[in-house]
Amino acid sequence: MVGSIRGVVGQIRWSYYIAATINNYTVTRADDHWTLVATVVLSDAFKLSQQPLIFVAPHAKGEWRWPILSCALQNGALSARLGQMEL
Amino acid sequence: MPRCPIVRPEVVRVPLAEGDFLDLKKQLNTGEYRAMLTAQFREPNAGDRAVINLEQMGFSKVLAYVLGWSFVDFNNQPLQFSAETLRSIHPNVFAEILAAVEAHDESQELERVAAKNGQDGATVSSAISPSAA
Repeated sequence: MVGSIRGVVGQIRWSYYIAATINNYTVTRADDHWTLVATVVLSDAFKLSQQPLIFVAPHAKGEWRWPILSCALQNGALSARLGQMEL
Repeated sequence: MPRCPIVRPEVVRVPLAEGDFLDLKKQLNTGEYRAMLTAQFREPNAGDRAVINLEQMGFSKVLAYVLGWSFVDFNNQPLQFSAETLRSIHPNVFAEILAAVEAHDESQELERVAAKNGQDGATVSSAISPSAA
């Protein structure tokens, strides 16, 4: 099963800190995992290097949250492997 | 063994009256601590000595520690915590919040002192040899 969620605004958080503010993201689901592709507009290199990191995508009734298993940032382009969505 | 000096960002929930609560940073890091202290002072003119900014007393400590709370607005919707919101609440409730934050801050200070003493291993004094008279 493959599905995707697209959005404009999101954050990567290390606990209550914002490690990165992201723009134009796509989260894609493929069988047992999710992937994130996004553009980073603001980031803190130290906080982005910490664990655990959470990707947070706000929506009309709250926010979706995924744990980040691994991520790479290159020239403002972020790609990450996500765990299961937190309910 | 090398030490890890990074403050782990942890949240503690502190109860208030009538079932309300605050979510606080367990511990401030250096940047947050220094920003909190700096906010309590202002320089009236370039070159003059800094003076205490009474408007910020207590306010900066609450802003430094508080992450969220259980309060709601007139429509019973969650009230977002912010500096602007903090200025809009009843003074009695602010006093209650400040008292809770200061109690938390003091308990953290005691923990820091206890940890430092334990870490230094200086709690037991060494034996002193009697001097020859």
